[in-house]
Amino acid sequence: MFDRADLDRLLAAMRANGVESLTLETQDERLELGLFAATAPAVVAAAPAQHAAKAEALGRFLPRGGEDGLPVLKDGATVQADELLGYLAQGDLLSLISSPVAGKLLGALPQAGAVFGYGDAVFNIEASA
Amino acid sequence: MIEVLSIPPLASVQDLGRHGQWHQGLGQAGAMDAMAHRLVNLLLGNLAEAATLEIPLTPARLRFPERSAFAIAGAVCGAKLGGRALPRVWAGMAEAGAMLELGPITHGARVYLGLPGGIDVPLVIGSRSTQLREGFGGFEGRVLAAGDVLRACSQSASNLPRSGVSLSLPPLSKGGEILLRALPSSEHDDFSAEAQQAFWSSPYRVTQQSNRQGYRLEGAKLDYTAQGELRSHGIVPGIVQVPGGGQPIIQLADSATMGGYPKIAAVIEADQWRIGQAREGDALRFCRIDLAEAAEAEVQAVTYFDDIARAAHALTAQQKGWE
Repeated sequence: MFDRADLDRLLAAMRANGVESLTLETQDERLELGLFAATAPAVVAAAPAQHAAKAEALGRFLPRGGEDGLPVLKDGATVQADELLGYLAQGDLLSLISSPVAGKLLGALPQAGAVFGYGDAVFNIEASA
Repeated sequence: MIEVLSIPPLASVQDLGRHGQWHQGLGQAGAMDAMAHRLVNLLLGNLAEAATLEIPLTPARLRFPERSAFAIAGAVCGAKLGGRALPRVWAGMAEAGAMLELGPITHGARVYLGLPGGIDVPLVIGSRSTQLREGFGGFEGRVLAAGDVLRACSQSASNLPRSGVSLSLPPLSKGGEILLRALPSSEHDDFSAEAQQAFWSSPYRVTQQSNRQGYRLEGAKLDYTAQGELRSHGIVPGIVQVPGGGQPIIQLADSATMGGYPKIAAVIEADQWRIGQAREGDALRFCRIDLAEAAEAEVQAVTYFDDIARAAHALTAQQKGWE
């Protein structure tokens, strides 16, 4: 049996870690706790914003760092606002993909040769605090 | 408009050269890397003949007093616009007050900078190129210096994407050597068989004695076997002469119009941009071709520029459709 102190500790831990629902099961008991968004505004506000670097044209993805003289971009790299992240190639013509914000790249980099259309998210960036 | 804040010597305004004055002893001048020159103009929607700024030495700092489109191409130099790193080839907009910084050149030898419509300098004897030896043409007939202001021929910005546009360039070298396709020239057969063999099969290094007039090379000695002195003959950019020491010289954009050294080969025009981007110590290798192959190379070069022009127009049309 969970007492009031146990419940308060669990709720505090949920708020501290941004957990919105929790289920605990024992052999003969089941406890479900939920936090409405209104009860955890601080956690929601603190979550870093994600932004997409979108394609301004259609084309095949070409990473930066080849003949362009720029350093190779790696997974999880920290980037600056307006930093060139890669290209979309139409033949020899290259459209640029730039970071809309300063932050950190999320997920794996696109594969060279992958096709993107206008407006597609090519990179996802977690904005710096 | 662009203001030069700092720039090392030898930066000059160039176009595709001053042709048709050979008979008067006036050389061609023009961009050492005509491909990069053409590309910056193409990306800005300029005519190929529009004048650009050729920058052989860095670092340089330039400022845009007002919002303007511009383009750069050629050597890798860690270019930054307002602190933002630019790729080797780029065309886009600079905001008013933005600073363009060109860092150390790490690959290639010359950077070209273009403005909308071309750089506004007077047309002199059919060209806007700086004739450095004679001291006319280009910007007041001289190399640029801090405080100079270059104006664009056109105020209108081309329809460039917000982030700008870049290009994939043909590789400068292959296997660590810059390959130059060349035809045998008039005295080719007067060199010894060993010299001919060495010329077409061994690399030659670019020496420190190299400039817009020509590149002196160092490699296998080339023995000239014919007797007597040659009379001076007309020479053009791309001609490879061999003075008495047996080391070749490639004549380039600012070459003299006449020369008396025996001529072993002529580098085809389609490959002369590679020489313009070669640096001291780079290895050059001459690749013998025939006239038909030279003509085909010219066709391929034209096709390369046409394809890029078509792609640029298609991109502009796409952008308009999406706006």
